[in-house]
Amino acid sequence: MDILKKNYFDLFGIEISIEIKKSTLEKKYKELQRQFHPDKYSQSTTHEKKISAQISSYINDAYITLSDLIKRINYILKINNFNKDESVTLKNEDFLIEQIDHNEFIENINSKTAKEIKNYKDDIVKKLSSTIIEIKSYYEKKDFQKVWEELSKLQFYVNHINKLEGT
Amino acid sequence: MSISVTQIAAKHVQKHIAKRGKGVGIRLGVKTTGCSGLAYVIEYADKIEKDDLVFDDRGIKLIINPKSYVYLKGTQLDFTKEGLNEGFKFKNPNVKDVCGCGESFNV
Amino acid sequence: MPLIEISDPEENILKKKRFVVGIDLGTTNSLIASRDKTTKFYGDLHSSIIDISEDPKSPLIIKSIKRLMGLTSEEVKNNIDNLSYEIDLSNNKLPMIKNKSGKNFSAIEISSLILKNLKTIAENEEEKTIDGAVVTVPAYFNDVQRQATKKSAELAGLKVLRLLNEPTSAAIAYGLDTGETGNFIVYDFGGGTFDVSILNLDKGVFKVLSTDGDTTLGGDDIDILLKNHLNIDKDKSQKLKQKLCETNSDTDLITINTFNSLIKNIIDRTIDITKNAIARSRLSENDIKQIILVGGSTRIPLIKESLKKNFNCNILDNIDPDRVVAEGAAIQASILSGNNKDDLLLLDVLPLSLGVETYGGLSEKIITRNTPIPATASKTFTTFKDGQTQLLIHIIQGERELVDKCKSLGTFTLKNIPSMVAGAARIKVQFQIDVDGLLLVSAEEDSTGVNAHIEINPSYGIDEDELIKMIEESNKSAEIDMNARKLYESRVEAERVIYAITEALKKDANELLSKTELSSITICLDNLKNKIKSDNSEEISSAVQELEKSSEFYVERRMNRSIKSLIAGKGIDDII
Repeated sequence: MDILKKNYFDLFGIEISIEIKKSTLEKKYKELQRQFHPDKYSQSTTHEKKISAQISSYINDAYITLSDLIKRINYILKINNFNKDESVTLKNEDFLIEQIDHNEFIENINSKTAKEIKNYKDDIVKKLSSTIIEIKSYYEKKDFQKVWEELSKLQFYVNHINKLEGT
Repeated sequence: MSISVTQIAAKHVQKHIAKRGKGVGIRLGVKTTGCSGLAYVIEYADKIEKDDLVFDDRGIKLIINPKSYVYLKGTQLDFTKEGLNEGFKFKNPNVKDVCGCGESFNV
Repeated sequence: MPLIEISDPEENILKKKRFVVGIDLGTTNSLIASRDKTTKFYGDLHSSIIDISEDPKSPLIIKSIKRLMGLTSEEVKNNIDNLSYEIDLSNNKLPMIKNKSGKNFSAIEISSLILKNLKTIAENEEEKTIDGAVVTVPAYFNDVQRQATKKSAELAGLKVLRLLNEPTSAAIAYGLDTGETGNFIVYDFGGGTFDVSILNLDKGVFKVLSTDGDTTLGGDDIDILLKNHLNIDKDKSQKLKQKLCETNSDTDLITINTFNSLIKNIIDRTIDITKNAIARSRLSENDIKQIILVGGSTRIPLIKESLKKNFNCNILDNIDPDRVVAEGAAIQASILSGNNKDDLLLLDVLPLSLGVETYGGLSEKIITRNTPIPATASKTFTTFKDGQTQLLIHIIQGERELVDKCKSLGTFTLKNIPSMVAGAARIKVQFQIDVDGLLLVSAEEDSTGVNAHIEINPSYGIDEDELIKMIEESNKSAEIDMNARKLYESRVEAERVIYAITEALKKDANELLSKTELSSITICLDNLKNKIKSDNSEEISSAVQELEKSSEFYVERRMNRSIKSLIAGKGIDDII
């Protein structure tokens, strides 16, 4: 099937970019599912049912990938044939030290005041936003190695915020 | 008493069957419906069943199930235009009254 | 007299409406309904209590069989107490209940007896055979429980169009699927169980955010309280409860205030569970828009009062709470059968995460809960010994980290792996979740171009052979003419395929098919149209398969074409 060979952006008729429009994604998602969801083929031939289930799953997968910033950037790297070597981790000493500091904050969170926590959180959100800007500019220059490095930072900030909210 | 078709009805039946691409003739019948009980049905016929009555008129095979024949004997099938509509019409000598909704009849 | 057109008898067969039903298979009561413009119920609530003794003098009454669906003997031992009948737990896979004449019944069979009874009632009333059914299941049902429910329906001779989550079904009945956006509580207080679900609705997309409940808390507990308090019999206490619910005022036997204080603890417990479910959905109480009431016990006035007091939202109760789930199922059945042309689309999610066991008894999630379904995911496994040709994969469902805390769906053995050095084989195992939330597993070895077929042996619950044996046995006693049933089913299937292909050809045969291609399909189509009249179900089925095969390429062309028309047009709005 040709559809299953389309990349997720093409499938949704969206230009490949770091940031996408949520409403367009939602609208296209529903349009696509209205066309291909197996419920629309419950009176069809067996082959048609099978294909609709495959396509519908593919649309769901595309939707999940495109909805999530980190998954989306990873996917962009993948379709640009940037295959990161799994064994190589980010070798950035400054960032390593920053990570240790952040983790220490969470370990000692019980001794922090509400205001300290709020300020800290705002700071992380700021760092997160500036990382996204970095990623966009590296992507425009097609420097996928740098995109990947910044993505590792982004991933850390996102996880860190989740951890903060979980405490 | 036999079943017949008018010249114009025969022409339209031939045209319809040719367009459909297959069929040995048309099957006339009645079904229960509406408020006075029975309504006419015309269907394409692809084969003649064992008990069927077959009438040949103007080159058209008119096929009728014996059960329906009771209500249809002597009927002539016509084709008319009424305003913007056109279609087939049954001229049935057995009909006693036609219901208000026009859909069904009684014999 | 109106003017008449010549109609085509072949098309008439195709336009025939299917008789499809929705079934609410409840713990205490069950209901069956169909939908044509309005909902038609066949009889009222039918008790889910069944006698399996085959001897009217000493009945063996089975209650609440739904609680045993999909449980292994060990799970029954650990989770179920105070059963009113003996249960044989020696077969670890399948707990069995034995009657006096020595016949063994599994939960699947007992459930199928309830379903068969419902089927007979509806079929007798319509004088038609049921063509398909939507059966509802609790949102928290795992894969094994869903499989068991589907199998019991098949065993009862029902074609399952879809398994539908009960809270989702209630939401469909309220028409919330059309354009509503927001979060909803479905508060389901039945005779024997209490369930609460938090749903998120976004213009036709349903997500079950969380579920909670107490499988031992129900309206029956309230009857018992009344019975003990006033020292009256069970029947009387039930009637009294009904009166108190209808009037919400004092009766000769008890004042409404005494009644309310008597049941306060039970109601408070349901409120606590509801709050807990909201907390687990990661929403705040202010995020909830409406509460849908399901289950007969929600008629108790104190429940509405407590819900209003605790949650600041609108209460939906204008559909009979005993019937709302069956009504939603009937609506969904009518849509799936093509009788109802509403443009409704239900996008459901996987209720529980799916994973495999990894080193140290830990679960590695493969598809996480709340993923929209259908869904596929794959994972590559490898061998750890030279020349290893088999691999055991343990599949589990649940949210916990430890395998022991999750539901085991079974182990799958991958056989015929080509012999290679350790770690060289790359066995790609694909997990597919269908629209019912059911799992299918397939596998292939794809290193070094060796495309070996790998066999999968599921080993949980009940396997196909056992099921076929059960169907045969049950048919012997019920004296159903299996051949007649098969013939009917193959004709229905043939009609469906003829209709699907004919409609498709009408739309775009000229555009997508060459003359030769078209004629190769029409030959098979005409052949099936002829064969459908035969009395040989196998002949019909093989003609169906020929037609399917001849049109596969055409079906794919159609799909590819529809995607092209959808990929166009971009908007400018918010950015994520």
